[in-house]
Amino acid sequence: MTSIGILGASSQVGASVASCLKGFPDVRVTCFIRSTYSKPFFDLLEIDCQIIQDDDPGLRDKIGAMDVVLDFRYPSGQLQEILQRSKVTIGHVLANLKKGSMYFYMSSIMAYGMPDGEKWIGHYYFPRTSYAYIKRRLEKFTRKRGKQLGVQIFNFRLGQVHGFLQSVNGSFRKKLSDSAIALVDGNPDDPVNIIFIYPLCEAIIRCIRGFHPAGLYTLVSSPQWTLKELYDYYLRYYELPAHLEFSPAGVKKKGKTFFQRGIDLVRPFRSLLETYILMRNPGLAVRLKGRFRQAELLRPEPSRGGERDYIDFNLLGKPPLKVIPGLTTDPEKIFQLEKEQEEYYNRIIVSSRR
Amino acid sequence: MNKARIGIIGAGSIVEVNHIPAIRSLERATMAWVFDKNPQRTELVAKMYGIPVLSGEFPAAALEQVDICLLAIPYGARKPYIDLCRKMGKCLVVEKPFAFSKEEHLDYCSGFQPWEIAVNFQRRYYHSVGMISQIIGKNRFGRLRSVDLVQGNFSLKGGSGYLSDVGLAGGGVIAESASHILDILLLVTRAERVKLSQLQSLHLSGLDYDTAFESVIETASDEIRVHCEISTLRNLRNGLYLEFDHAFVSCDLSPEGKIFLRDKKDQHLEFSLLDESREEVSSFQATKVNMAFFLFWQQLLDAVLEKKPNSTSACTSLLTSSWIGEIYKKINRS
Repeated sequence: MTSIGILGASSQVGASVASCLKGFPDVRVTCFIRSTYSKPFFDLLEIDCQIIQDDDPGLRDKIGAMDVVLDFRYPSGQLQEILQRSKVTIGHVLANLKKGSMYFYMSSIMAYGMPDGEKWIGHYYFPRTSYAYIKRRLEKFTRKRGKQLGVQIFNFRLGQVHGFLQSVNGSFRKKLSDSAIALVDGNPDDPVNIIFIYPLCEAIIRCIRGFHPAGLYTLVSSPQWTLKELYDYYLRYYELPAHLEFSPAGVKKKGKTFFQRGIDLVRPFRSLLETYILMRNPGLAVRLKGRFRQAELLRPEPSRGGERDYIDFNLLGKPPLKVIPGLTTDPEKIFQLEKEQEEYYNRIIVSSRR
Repeated sequence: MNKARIGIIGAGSIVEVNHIPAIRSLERATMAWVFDKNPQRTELVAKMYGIPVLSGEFPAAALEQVDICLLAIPYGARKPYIDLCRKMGKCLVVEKPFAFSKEEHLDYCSGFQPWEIAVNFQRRYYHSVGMISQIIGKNRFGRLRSVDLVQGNFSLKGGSGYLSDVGLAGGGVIAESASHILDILLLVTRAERVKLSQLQSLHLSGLDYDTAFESVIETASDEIRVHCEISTLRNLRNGLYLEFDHAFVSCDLSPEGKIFLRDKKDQHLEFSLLDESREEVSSFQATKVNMAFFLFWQQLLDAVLEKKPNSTSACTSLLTSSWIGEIYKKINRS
């Protein structure tokens, strides 16, 4: 029996993974939560949960008893505080793990470092967003500390996580419900970087069972779903009548004012400014944030000028770094699993009302 | 007054992200100070917007420096501040949930003039709310027969811990989040009374997580059946679904949420507001959340200046508190 502890279990992905992992053989799942608010969820699903704080003196007893720890945490707060705060809390957890145990540090696929709005995945040596900058530094930190402490480190970069408890499902449902014709940015056979909860859990279990060595992995459906498979899935899942129209966005140059072109030139550097300058100048960052918020309120909504809106943003292309192959990815199989799990879950919730 | 001086008690994210940018955008208002029991939060917000800080224990004398006080702290911690503002004759803006019974609501309002105390039901200024209100008010599709109100967004976040404490939060997802849509429903239907009938709830220690209930809204001329489903444990088909004599209307109640109309044969219907209706919905302009906060504060300053209650004055949401109170009474009995 492998004991798996989940940190950040109150997050959407953490909670879903906990609920799904419980169904795998020979694992015992314990969720670590910071407030009692989420406790009824775990109690209903009969998942062990314990209250824990970052500076909990009992951390060694609680975390140290685990063979595997999955860490879904990402602290809230000001940008410039997140890296340091994360290093402290992660370091604290690693220091309390027993030798030979496994630690999975979860990030989103945006850790690759693409600039905002880039729709093709790619590895950026210099990350273009503060999120990627922070996550890459933390991946490096976990690797280094893991080596010193004899803990196996798995850094997972998760594609967009889908599942009936994820807000992305609600977003697809709403957007496809709102339009008779859904305009999708891309070609039907473009690969998308998504993963559902069940294959994510399969990947975790495969790593635990020793099929994959410690290291950095990108977690996407493998083989990848296509854009058409993804949208067809939601039309079928929620029985929506929308018609899909695939049309890759071209590079728009015409019809822009000098000012708009100037803004477009500066825009790619906004996140660079945030990442490499403001993170080192907390005082300035905080003041600029206040001004930005006020400016946002007063900014007139941009005129679309007859342009049609794309239904959503999808990150396309093949991830350049290692993926975990052989997971359940067949859309039909995923559809059945999700339907079964959602029905089971809803039955538990509704029957627990009184 | 030249410029309304505003003091802020509570420096949580709603103050940081929504209230202060809205207030700062108004030429007729200035921020006198900000106070929070957490000094890091006070300092952060003060630095972000250049506002003076009140530190240590709350100094009651600081209220003398303001005309309006924004009370954005958890429900259970508000009473002493409400009493203090009343005593010192200050206008007050209170975050939701405001009260859990008609009596409590009236108690908070007592001693204030109607324009002196408001509840931050800023979603009343949403464009989508104005449109729905017009569709119902003009009887464009006959009488409103029934309403389905659905809000389900899976989230287990405990909001810095205060959401886990019923003494502070007052209740669970209905109080914290769905009170907005319940309030909107009463507003757009022009409800005069509301009666709660059946209710089933998944709740623990006074915090509701997943609830379904039936109610009847009584208007001057009609009775409307209402079914509500509110959850923080499930993702649901969110929205307001209205059945009229001759049409079905639905809307997701986001600021610029689209409104969908179908006739009883499931055919799509076109709809546009008549000119006089456009005039009537002129205050419902918010197509973004931060714009709704801006309108809320703009209208509030007008109300205080003109000494006339407006559409978010506390006296206009008595029925909301009463309905929420009945819901929690039933939850806690079940």
